[in-house]
Amino acid sequence: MKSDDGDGETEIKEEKRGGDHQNLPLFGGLIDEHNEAGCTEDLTIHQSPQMKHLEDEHNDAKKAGCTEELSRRHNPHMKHLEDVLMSDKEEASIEDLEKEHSPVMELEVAKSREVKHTSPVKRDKKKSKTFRSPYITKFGSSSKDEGSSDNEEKHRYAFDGCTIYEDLPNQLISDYSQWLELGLLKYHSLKKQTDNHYLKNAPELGYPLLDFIVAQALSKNWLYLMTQPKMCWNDEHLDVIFYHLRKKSKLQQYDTYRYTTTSCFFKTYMEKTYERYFSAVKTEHISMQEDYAESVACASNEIAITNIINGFCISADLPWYLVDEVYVLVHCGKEYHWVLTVIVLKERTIRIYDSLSRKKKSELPTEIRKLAAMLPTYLSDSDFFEKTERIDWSTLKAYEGKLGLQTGDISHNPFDVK
Amino acid sequence: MSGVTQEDDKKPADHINLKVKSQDGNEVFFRIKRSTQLKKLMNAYCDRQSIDLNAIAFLFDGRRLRPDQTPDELEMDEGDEIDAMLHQTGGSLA
Repeated sequence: MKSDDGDGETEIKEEKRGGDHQNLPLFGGLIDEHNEAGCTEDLTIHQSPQMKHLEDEHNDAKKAGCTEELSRRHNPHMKHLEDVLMSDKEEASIEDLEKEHSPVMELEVAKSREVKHTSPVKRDKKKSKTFRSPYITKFGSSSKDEGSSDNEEKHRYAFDGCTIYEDLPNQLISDYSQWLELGLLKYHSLKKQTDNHYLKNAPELGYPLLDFIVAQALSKNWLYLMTQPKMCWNDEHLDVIFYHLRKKSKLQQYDTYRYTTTSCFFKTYMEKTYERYFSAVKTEHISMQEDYAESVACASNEIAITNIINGFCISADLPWYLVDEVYVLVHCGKEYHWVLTVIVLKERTIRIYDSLSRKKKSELPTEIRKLAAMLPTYLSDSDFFEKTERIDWSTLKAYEGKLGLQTGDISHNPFDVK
Repeated sequence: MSGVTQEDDKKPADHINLKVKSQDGNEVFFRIKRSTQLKKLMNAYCDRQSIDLNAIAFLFDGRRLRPDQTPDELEMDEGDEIDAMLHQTGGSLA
């Protein structure tokens, strides 16, 4: 399930996924508990002795995670892939939230998953994370039931105790929608992305903030943006989702397939260094001072990159030499568009999942080309190839003849891009 | 801004030097009381760079900073670095 990626397998994967989903009720996001708990990380630490008990569960969850990812992979031309993708991630993160915050996990593992939501911690249903993607209709793959009609925009949320695939009690959905709508500006849909969509004196979250560790939701506006089809998701939303995916992977220590993710800004660092080394303006044409200033700036970006690769920098990060694949978000600035790239370390390739790929089949986003060009250099800079505890990279076929560049050099063997 | 950068040096332990680094590698140094909300630093930085506060994400150890947090709360050390990154949005098809 990990590395096979023949195109012919799409259907099988789809089916598999369906199966997994049924075994995997996804629970609602109890965002409110973030505040009670204070900090997810702390909780995880507390929980770590219990990890063994959670193992099975994580494996199950993992399966679903993988299949979700695989199915994404197998539908490269899915028109609105990205939305699907986000939804998938969202589910994952929601599930993680549940896990991380359930102090009675240990007991509950013994019980069936279905009764997990009987956790004694009282939760306010209204605080669930919103979740809906009006675009996914054709494949019925992630959040939508196959039965849902193509045109009807149905709100779907994952609530505590209900999975995203279940038909939720209508009461819950309408309660949540109402709560979200409370205090909305009359013409909220005409407002710009960055504007506040709520009245000044509108009721707030009911909590000072929802702490998602890597980002914080300060008002309902944050959740509102996620639910609106016309609104964009920003780096905060995606970082939260990717953080929870990362965390999920980190907790599932015994899986054969391992992955990690990066924050949205990994690509930004990469881009900056690319500009330095492959810049259109030749370095001879700039003054010494400029050159020096640039090199200093570049060095600090390089430190950030190697820190990320070594797992030092981002919360719940895994060092890359311990994983099979790395999920990197690439923001195509000009198109206001997010593209998912997966760095398949074993194959020395980058896979791209672009929901708009149909529109612009031919050319590769420049952002990704930059990533492919810079990646080999920083992998070797961060001593990635020397860390062979899990995989002996240098013996892999994909790296044959492409290693051994000298330190300080820029590799001219970019990663293959699929 | 003077309030941020020119605090008196009498009690050095109360103060902390922080570095805000932009995407382009520009660095701005701030001296701030450990118990002062970072709002002050953020505003000062945005003023100086002539950017909208809402357009920037301040990251410390990969986490976004809230205006109401203080260096004490975040257990920041002398010389710590804060990344100032431009917000990115995307995904809309409408």
